[in-house]
Amino acid sequence: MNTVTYSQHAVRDFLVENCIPVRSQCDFTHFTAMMKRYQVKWTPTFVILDPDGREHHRMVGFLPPEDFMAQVQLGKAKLYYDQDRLDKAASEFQIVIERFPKTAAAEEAVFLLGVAGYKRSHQAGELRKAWEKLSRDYPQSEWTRKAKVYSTL
Amino acid sequence: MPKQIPWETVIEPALDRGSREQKPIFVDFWLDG
Repeated sequence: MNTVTYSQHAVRDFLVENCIPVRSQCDFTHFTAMMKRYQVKWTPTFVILDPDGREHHRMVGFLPPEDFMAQVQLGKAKLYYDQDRLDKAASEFQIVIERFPKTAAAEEAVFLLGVAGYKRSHQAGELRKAWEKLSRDYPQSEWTRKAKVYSTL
Repeated sequence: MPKQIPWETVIEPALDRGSREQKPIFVDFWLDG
């Protein structure tokens, strides 16, 4: 991560702008309190927390810069989504989709943007729009399969 | 050389900062070496 991802200016600026970055050293012979608290079993593991320490998103394994930033952005959006701050969540999901369209995070963001839109408006068309975009732009995605039930709405 | 990421290393002050600055906390669980 240091050599490929964290060494990039864009990643550094993105993290500083969007998050409070924390590094927690792991020890698999004597599990640290943080490893126990967040049930960390492998490295690298990344989590997005709210200020109460609650986890909203997790990534396990190496991520190149584009995928890394997309996942952090998705985690930020999911934090707002979990807090039912749906307007804020929707705008953050939109950033994932527009800025990182070729990443797996964008696929999940399209799905959750549809759900957030439905929860805000109670219009089933929001869910159908999500399926339409997923089936058009990400036909092989697991999120497209999950959204298929919305195709008839 | 790019500027280093200003990592916090202790969680509680980072949570306090997150609260003050209205930002999520990103934690990288890493293994040195």
